[in-house]
Amino acid sequence: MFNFITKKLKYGLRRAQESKVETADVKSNKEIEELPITGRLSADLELTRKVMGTSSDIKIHEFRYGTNSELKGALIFIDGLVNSDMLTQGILKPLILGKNLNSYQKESIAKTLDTVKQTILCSGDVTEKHLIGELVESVLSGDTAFLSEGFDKALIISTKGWDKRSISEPQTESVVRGPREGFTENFRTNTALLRRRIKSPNLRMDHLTIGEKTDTNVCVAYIEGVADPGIVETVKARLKSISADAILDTGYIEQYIEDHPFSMFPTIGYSEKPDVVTARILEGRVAIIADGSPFVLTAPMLFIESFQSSEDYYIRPFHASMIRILRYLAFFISISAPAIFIALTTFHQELIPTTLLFTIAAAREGTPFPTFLEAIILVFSFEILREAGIRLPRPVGQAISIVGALIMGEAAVSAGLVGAPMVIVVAITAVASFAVPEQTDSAAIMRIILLILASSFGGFGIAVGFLGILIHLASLKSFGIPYCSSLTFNHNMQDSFVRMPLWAMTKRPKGIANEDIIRNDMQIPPSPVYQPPSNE
Amino acid sequence: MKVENAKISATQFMFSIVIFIRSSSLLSAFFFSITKQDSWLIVLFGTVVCIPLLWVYVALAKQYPDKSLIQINDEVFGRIGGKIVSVFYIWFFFTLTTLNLRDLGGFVNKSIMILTPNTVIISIFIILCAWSVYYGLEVVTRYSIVFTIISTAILIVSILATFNIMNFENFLPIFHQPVNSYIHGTHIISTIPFGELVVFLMIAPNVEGKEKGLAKYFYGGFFIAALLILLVILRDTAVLGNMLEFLSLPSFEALRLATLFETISHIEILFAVLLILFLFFKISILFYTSILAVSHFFKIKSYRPLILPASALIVVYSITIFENVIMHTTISRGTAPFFWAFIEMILPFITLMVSYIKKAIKKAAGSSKEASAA
Amino acid sequence: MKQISRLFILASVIAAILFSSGCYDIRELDRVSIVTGLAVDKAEQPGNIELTIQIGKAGALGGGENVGAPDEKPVQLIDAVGESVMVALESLRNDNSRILFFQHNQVLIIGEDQARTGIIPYLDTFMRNKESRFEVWVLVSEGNAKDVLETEMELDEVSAVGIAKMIKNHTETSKSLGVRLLDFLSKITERSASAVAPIIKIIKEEDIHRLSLSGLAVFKKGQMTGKLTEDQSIGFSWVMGDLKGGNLSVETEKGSAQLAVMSSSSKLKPVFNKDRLQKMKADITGKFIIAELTGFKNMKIEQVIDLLKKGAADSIKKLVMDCYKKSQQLKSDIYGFGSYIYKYHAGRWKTIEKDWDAVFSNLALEVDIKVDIQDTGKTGKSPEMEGIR
Repeated sequence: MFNFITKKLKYGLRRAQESKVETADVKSNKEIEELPITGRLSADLELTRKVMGTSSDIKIHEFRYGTNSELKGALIFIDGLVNSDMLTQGILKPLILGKNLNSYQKESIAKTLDTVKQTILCSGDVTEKHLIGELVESVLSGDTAFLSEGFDKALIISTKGWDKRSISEPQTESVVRGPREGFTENFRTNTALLRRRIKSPNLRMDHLTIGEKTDTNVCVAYIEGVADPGIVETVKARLKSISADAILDTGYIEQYIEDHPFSMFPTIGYSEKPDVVTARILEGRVAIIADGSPFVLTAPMLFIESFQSSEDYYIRPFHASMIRILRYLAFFISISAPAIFIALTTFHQELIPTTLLFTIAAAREGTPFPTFLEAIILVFSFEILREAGIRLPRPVGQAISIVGALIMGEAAVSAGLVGAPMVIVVAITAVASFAVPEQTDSAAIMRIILLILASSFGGFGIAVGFLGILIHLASLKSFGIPYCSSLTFNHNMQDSFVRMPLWAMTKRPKGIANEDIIRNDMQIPPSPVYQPPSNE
Repeated sequence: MKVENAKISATQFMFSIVIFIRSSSLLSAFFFSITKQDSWLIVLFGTVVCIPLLWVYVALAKQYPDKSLIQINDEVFGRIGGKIVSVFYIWFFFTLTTLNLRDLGGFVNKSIMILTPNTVIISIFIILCAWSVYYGLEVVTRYSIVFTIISTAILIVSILATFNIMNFENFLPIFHQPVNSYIHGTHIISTIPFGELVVFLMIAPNVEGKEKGLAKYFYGGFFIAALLILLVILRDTAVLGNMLEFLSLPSFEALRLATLFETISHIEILFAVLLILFLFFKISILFYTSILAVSHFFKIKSYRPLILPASALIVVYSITIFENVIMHTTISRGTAPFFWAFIEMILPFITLMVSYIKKAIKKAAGSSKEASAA
Repeated sequence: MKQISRLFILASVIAAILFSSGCYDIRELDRVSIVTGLAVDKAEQPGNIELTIQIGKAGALGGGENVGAPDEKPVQLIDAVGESVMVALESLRNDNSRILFFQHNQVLIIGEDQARTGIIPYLDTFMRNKESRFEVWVLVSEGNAKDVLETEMELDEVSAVGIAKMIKNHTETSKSLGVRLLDFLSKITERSASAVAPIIKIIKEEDIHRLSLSGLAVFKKGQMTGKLTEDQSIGFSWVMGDLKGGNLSVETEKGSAQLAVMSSSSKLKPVFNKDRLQKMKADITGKFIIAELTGFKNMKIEQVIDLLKKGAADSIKKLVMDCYKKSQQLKSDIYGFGSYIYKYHAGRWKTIEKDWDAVFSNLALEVDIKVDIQDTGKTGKSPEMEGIR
């Protein structure tokens, strides 16, 4: 402890001495950023150059303007981040050719600045900055800084305009019926997509920047008066407590703020579709948008959210409910089919119908590996195939899946390496696991855990495994909301195992939204009786 | 997080009672061999017998809404007397946990895992229960409603699937056993599954909205459970007839005979899984209450440090408690109900009476004081 | 970090438990012999039994590509002799390279000789053993039970499975009566202490051996006492009210007919005379459809039906009484009259319980038969009847 303090002290002393000796020019970047803009153009530019270095994409354009070109000015911007049309048409052209500055008032610098700001620059978003650091930050995020001799402020003109992906249909959550727009990597586009859907003034988008190096724009979107203020505060506090150097995707944020980092279940939801996020915000959830990521986080998340697809609400409730039950079934199959198969064929053969047992036994004859090993090999090779299929370019990926799934499976069976029933079971599992995309990752882990338990304790092992999963699920909380609520028949059963008709879902989920509970006032189903009388 | 402050909803409490009693359907063999085809009557008798008993429990919980049973004892019997009474309860809770664990081990051994040593099954299960107890009451009781729904659904399916092999003549003749076998049977059923509800006095203070009507939920849960048990016993009797008394797992064998669409003919595995779920639930609650009781006894702030030693103790206890199955059955049929009756019926009754008397004395003293002041 | 290390410790403890204690019950399918049939015969040594088991060979049976050589026999029979089922099983286990797996056992065939000596001690094994199932069909074979299992069936490669199918089929046509082990045990332990089991026999036609179910074996207190013929067993079913199908042939003076049984029901009632059992009454109702008509020249269909009703009642009565006489002769209350009286008149049962056998063998049975012909089939007429010339 003492050592540390003395070291610090010594260091401080040495620094003091050094700074005395050396000139002010050799300051660290940090210190320069704290400096105010002086008004001497050359000095300011010098400082800026020092902070920003000699990157080739940083452009500092010095020019003269005013009626008689007697004013010296400079624009600082980053090539590629700014809209060059805007730069030339909106800033340079009016400044250089502009005639409004003929009454150059030397005595009042502030007034000149106002004139420039108000009558010359053709931009909707001009702000004033006083510190070098602020200037640099704005420039780095795509704005253009305008410095001029004699001004102790910089005008920051919003000229953001880089090439970006246009709004397109998302790859992950495709729907047959429903909106096809997806979020993009662009922050503003994403907020705009949300704003366009909720035209309520209560939609709040609180801004934060996270990441020491990346300074990523992050926005917390929620509806005031619907979202639980406690949850909003928790989300903001957790976001603020992130001290990481980079946020490259919302996935980073998810991992920094989730409740249960040691759980295999995700406790923060995500979506690539603005309609989904809108629906969740309207249920009282909080959305987290980060620059550079087309995935928007939503919190709190419930387990059943993984089983709700946006399309469930766009199609009529009967089919939606059936599909949802199928999804639960598929999830169950995807985690337990191999385990149940192993338990049945190696422990409880009495449960298989006699004829089927003979068929399975015939397939077992002559295969070299124990059933458990066979299952593990197949399950893992499926995971490998999946991984390979995702990462490869699409045409090659298809080839891989054909070679892997069809040819290898077929060959392995006919060579007698694995039994055909096992291949079928693993194939069913694989197909089923894609029915619930949000839980695919957790399902893969659970599948293997159950597989191991089943192969050592049969049906008892599976029961124990499921109980363990249930206990774990019950212990999870997402921002204070029990993760498996609505699954345990506590409340909100309208939208869990089946989806009730929209007119019957009168209330927002309890627990998530605590104020403004009423979602619609229909109460009664629509029917011919309530049609307005015709005018004839 | 102070776990003792966990709140559970009243419905959760109610359905916990349902599952708690429902899980004892395994023990039906005890009284099947005594009252044979009239066992369903025993359920009715037991239910009637237990109504005043529940009244005692509810009255106790009402008297001391924020106190668990152990704390009530301290309050009612004083420091030393309370501890002595509490020791009985703690022993009872631990023994119940142990017995149920042993039952589970026995069941798994008999039905699905014939060769696996009992010890292994018991150890694995206690780890599971300890895990859920570690998370607290909320997690322990969370699935009560789901389990009830699943169990009822499976019960209905099993009744439908066995309907064509049911023979309703199997219930005849009614009332034709010796009278003392009815008394014996009623005694068993009212002490072994029903009277065990005394453990819920440990978690009653944690129920949300208990001021409004704990009684409603207490009775409600009890009656639902009694109805479910009645259905199980009716089904088993109708299916198995006079084979009932010969079998050690009547429900299991009854379901073995069930057939759905010819091919799905082995739904007894459903029963096995169901029973494991139930017993997990019951053992978790019992385990939770036992160590909560210990922590209240010694006034420890959190029960969590007790989980590990208690699980070890319970495993050893449950392995050594009986030498064999025969001893288990004999004791469960013979001696245990009497011990249980003392703890489940007489002790709470005494506690309630003493608390009433104390209250009356206090009131009298208060009024006399008032009178003297006036 | 602390959490991670805790997690690690927990994981390793669980892994240790799994690896050190798992797999006790594991039974890989390629180490298992699936037993499909069991036969118990009297052995040559006195007091011993010969136990035969039929094992289905998965390699030869399963579908798909893994079917073995076509001429391979799909089943294997092994037998052993011992003083009890368990002793015999023990030596069977020693002789077999694989674990014997009994849960898929379909039939339990008892040789007639052994059935006549008594089967109670062997039934205990089947009741007590964890692997045995109560829904096994119980049969008695005419001749050696082993031969029955040995007989090959045309369509079903595993004869035990074939026998099980045959029983189900025959129960539907009421030719025979399927008896599961549970029913059998239940009947034997009931007040009446008598049970029946179908008889299976081998019919030898030149070089083809065929299996056939015919009649019932009557057991009393675990000992076979006699046989009921096919007709008698139909009579038995009439009294029990569980006839579900089959035909009834009716002969009248004007012609003959075959009536298809649609359903049947029966109500038993003991008649007491001052606490003394006087007789049993059976109200039998049968519903039929006309399946075949011959004769009845120049008669209206209504007349024909009236005739048929009377004829059918007579022939049912004959079947019933025939069977009843036989059972009285055997002193075996296969109908469960005793249990019935115990159930409905428990007080009176006590007085007759002791000498029930004597009471039963002298007990009169009054049969009241109601015949209902519900339909005449696709036509109301017949080529021989009036109307078509």
